[in-house]
Amino acid sequence: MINRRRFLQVSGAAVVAGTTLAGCGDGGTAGGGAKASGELKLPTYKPFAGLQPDLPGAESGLEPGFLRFPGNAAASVKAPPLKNAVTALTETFATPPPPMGSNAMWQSLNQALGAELKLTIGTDPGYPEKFATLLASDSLPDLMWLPPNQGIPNIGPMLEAKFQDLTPYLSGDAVLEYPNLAALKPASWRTAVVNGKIWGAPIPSTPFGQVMMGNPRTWEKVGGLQSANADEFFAKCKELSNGTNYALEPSIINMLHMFGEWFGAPNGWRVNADRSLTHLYETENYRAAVEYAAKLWAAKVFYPDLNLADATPKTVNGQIAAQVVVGPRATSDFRALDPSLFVDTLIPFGHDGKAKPVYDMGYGTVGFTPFKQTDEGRIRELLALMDYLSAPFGTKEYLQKNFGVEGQQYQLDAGKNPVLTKAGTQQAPGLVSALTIMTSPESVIFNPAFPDDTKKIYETEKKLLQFAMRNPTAGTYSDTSSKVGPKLTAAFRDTIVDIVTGRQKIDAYDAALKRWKSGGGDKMRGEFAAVLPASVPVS
Amino acid sequence: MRPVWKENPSPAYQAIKAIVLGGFALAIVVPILVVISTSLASDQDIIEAGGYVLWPSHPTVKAYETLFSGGLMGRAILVSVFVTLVGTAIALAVTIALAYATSRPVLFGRPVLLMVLFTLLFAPGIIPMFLVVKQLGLLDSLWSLILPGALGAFNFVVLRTFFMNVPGELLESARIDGASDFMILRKIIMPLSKAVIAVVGLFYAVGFWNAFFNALLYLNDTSKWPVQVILRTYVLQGKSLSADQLGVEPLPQPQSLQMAVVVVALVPIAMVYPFLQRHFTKGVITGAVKG
Repeated sequence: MINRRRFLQVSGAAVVAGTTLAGCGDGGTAGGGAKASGELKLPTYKPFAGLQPDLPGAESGLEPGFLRFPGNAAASVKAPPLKNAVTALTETFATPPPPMGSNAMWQSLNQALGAELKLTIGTDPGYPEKFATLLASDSLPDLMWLPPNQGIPNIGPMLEAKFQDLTPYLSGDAVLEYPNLAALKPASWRTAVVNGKIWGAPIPSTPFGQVMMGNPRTWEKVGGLQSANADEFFAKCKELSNGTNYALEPSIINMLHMFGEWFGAPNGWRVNADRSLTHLYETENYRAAVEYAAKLWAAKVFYPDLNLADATPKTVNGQIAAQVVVGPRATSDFRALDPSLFVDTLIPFGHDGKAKPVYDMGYGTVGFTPFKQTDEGRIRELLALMDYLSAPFGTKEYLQKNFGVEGQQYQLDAGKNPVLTKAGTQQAPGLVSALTIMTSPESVIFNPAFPDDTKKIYETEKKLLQFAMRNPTAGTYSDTSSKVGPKLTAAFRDTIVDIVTGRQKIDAYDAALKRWKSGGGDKMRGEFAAVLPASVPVS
Repeated sequence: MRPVWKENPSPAYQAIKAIVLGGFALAIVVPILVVISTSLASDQDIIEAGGYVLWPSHPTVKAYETLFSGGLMGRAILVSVFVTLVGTAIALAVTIALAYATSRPVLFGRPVLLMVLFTLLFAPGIIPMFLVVKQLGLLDSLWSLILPGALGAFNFVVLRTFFMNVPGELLESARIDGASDFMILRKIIMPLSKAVIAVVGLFYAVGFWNAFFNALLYLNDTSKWPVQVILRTYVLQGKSLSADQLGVEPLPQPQSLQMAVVVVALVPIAMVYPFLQRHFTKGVITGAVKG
């Protein structure tokens, strides 16, 4: 929900590669773990009944939309969850919060929880090192956020050795004791299942993946961002680029992700009719996308500085016409710079105008938060805390966690939406980010300042869902992938960027692919294929 | 001054020199100017420039106000200053004492000690270090930023080499006059080594000021974070508020905030450099050549 963009940018990219992200699924030994996970009874799903969204969500992944914050926030928790202080390791993706002692919002949260919630706040990069040192020195806090994509290895054995198996407390109807955890979808829970056991509450995030967004004022000159085929898009880009202004941001790999969708490339892996797997890089579709990108680069439509960190201000002022963002809800990033600007989201199209494009969905969660091994009383106390912090959008607990106390950290605007006060803007961002990365309810679309945006994003999501494709290996685990996957991907991408930018010929593709396969790609394929769930469709 | 026997250079040669040197100067000045300008830029400037700003047309100190409003930054500066001052003092004391002791030929077991010190040149690894810090009870304490870095092998080698080149006769005559080792170190060695001590001190100070990784690992309490950790979080994390969180007044753009933190982290060291610079080359070169 909040300030996860950076995280999702990372994870969004990883989904394409289908490598590290898989590290959070069935862990440990490849075969047995997956089988055991298949037999586990996931927590019963019981959505929160107290709220009706203005735009209903759907099983397909469509996020419910709220046009304004629900009035008279309902309580979703009966009593304060804590009696004793709790320590937790988490990470902030926003500006760091003032410490607990001088942070009134943190103190009011502690009061609402019944005891102190002591957060150790890590940063990215550096989180895996912090995680590893705490683990190795046996100084575990009560809760430790486990990110799926930062390369923490040997998840299965680690969980078995150091963390608490929560299956008896959460499997099936047992979860109903914690109604906010029961309101998390089965798809989210799958993240938290390793070796057939549930290890913590999952942290849902938007199920959508990267999209291309463009400034409509720029694209107006060429008839808009939406295009019917790759040639039309190429022509428009060329027309918009003139040596000072450029059509596309220089983020080659993300752009290639978009082009790959038009050329029908799979999301990570393709499942063949005989249930074997073909990696994205091995498909003709991705290769065609690379050639297309090289053609665009040669036509000088990419902004030339490959090191550009953030294209958003340049998209707003028109120097760059389009960029790739984390998902369809990111329109708000542009509103933040220019309130009068609502950017357009490109709906994928077939490269020749006929073929069906794909749209790659994202991972859907940002991992889970396991508990340190402890006794039953403490486990129930920690579960109650997770239940409180996972309270759905619109509840009293959600308000406390995200906005603090009315009159102090927030006030209500004319539309009854909570608005952070000056104190709130100091105290909230880093704290809220640290809390929401370790506990979260299912995501919603909510743009209080621009309710119409919510409607438009909702429509965009519907359109994207027509072409939606999920990574078939999501939620499964390959040891090779978590060990060498990131390195292999990085090496392959280096070659790709060289090819696109004209430093190497397309022949280099085959050599790079060969290295990728022999370096561990083939082994990954075998490991993923061995645990491929029967429910995953042929793609 | 040009020697009298040399001709004046041609105007063309002078122009080329000016352009080349001017180019180098610009390459150094412009990035610093961009950092300072962006930290003072308004939202409008940033949108117009599409990111980093060369010269703000609507300057504002909002980024600095935001930075210091939470209380975190002010405290972080105090932490960094404390760690740098105390750390440098302790590190210098330890290094000078050890370098002096090992530079004298009389010390018992010197070869063994030197072998042990040789291992200091190799990093111990994150987890063993963490375990040591934990066993010493330094976790979550500012001492965890100071003590593990109190003896730098490189600095020790530089100092020791320098001390070894102080003529033995000087020390002998002092000893005949009844000076103790401590007095020899204080009255003879240290005054003779001012330049190299200043340099080693600067190395230590910059090291302590810039250190962030230890803080990330050993400190859990954000109120003990030094400036560099905050700098890192701001530069890497960027965004401050998200769509579903409205604020009564919008925060400055991430670019201005990031550059404001960079300025805050840069200023103290930039202020110290000019005073130590004259010792700098002299000190390092002496140690190196005589070694």
